Amino acid sequence: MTGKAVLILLAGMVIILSAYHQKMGNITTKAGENFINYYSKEVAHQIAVSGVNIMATKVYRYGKWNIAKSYAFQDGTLKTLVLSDTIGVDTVVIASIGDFKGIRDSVIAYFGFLSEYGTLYTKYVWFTHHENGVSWNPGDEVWGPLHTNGTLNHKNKSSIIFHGKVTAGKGISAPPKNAKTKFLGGYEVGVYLPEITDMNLLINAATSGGYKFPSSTDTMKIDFKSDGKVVVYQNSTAIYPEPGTPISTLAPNGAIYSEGPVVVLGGQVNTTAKGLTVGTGDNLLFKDEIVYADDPESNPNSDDIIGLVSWNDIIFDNSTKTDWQLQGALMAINGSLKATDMNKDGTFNYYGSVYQYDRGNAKMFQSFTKLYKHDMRLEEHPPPYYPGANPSVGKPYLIAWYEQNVKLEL
Amino acid sequence: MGSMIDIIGSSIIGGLLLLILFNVLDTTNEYFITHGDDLIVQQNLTSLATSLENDLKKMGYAVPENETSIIIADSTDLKFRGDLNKDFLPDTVEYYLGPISDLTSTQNPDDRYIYRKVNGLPLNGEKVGVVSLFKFEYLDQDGIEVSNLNTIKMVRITLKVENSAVYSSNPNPNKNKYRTAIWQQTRLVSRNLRR
Repeated sequence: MTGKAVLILLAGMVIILSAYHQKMGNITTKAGENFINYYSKEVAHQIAVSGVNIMATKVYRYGKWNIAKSYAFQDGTLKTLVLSDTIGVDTVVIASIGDFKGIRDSVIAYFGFLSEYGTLYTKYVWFTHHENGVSWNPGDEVWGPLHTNGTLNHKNKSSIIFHGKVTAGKGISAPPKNAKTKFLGGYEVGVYLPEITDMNLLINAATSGGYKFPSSTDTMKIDFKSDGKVVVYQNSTAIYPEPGTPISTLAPNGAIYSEGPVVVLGGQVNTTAKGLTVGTGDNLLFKDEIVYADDPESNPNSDDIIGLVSWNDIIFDNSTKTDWQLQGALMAINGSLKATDMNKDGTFNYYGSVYQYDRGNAKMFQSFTKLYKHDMRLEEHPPPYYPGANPSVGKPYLIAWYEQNVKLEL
Repeated sequence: MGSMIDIIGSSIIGGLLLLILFNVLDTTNEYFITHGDDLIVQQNLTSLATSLENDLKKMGYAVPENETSIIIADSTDLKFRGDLNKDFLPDTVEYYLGPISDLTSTQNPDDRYIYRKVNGLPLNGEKVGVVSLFKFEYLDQDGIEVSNLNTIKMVRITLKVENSAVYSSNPNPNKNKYRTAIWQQTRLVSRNLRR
């Protein structure tokens, strides 16, 4: 009797414990599966990200990617797709699908290509290839993106303010993390952009459809009038005398070039919507300031656009004028922004986009209070034939990156 | 007499076996519930992490380059812009940690709701999970912690999920009795912030 009862109890215990054991095993298995599932999702996602990174490298290098491929990758499958090619459109859309253990993920990236005469450089209010050891000083303020391929130096004072994003190829000294200088737009180091090496596009346009100054040695002097005309001198002789000739007549395509030096006498610049670019194969000297007839700072719809391109230096004659206001895009392909008088103080109130190879070391560009404001119109609408364009392919740039998970919806 | 001894003996042995059985059942119950809690905690954690990842990966998408993607970057509150539904219109997404007072009905003294709002809705936030730790840290490209919104290139998220109650006769059990799962995504970064 006792034995039977004990056996029945034991049998009951075994049955109950077996059921519990199985339940616990199931729960443990589910807990494991939960993390394995999460891991699989992560791997599928990373495969998709890897696919777009591979394609993006090709797009940056060759300007396009036109291969749809599917292959084994990281114990899963990677499929790359091109959703639109560069032919006939100004963007390319690439996508990548990652499959891992039955889980699918996808990433899409959109790349834009600069328009035929687009340029990356007018995106910046200030671009320098070499910083030349020159520092930003107290009181200096920059509104808009700033880039240097070198090391950005600053005097580490709270009155130095960078309102836009700062990118520097070789770093920032002192490091922004604990600096007093304000980097309000953020910063990034290790960013390098190739320097400009020619202005052939401008020269060719000036030769055909624009205005090419007749002498390769004489100085071209140009005086801007608020009614859209210019007065042009060959040394001291006016070849387009007062009251001047319309820019649209002198250079219908907006390109003016002189092999010799160019002197800008100043004035108010009034251009057609196409804009105007004045280039020189030598130095460009500002005797006086130029501003737009229709000020884009107060009227963003102003269509006045000017670019001044020098093969060597852009020099400011500050012998009598110490406070400067200047509007327009400036480019010194192999040189710097300099001043005739190295040791004067003053202010430089600028609105446009500066490109220079070496940063000028004249005092005007060291101890002058410099206020650089970006003319954002130049980003979409650079001056005509402004150097830096790549008309054959255009440089790709990332517009957007979409990680969408699970299914590819186009 | 003999049968009486049998009955007494079997009652004692049966009683002892029952006591053992109850004890085993109690212990088994505790393990059973603990394992169940582990599963719940892990599922809560992975679903919350997946939701966060999905949203944060879209940070900055369809936001013009000269506009700000991150609006609030607090240690327990992140508000950012990004196109969630791919209609090329940026949405505003916010994740924030609710106060302890929002969740007093559970035994765990530390658990709180995480709220999610999309374009400001729902007004009081949607409860998307229960956590005992929820922390955002903001890093620049070098992995250095920063507070300037424009400098943020990476967001590090730490989540800790605990079960709401412990199988215990003690109404205030020791904290180490709670089942815990921790998740940290140290390099969660949207490419759209690095254009």
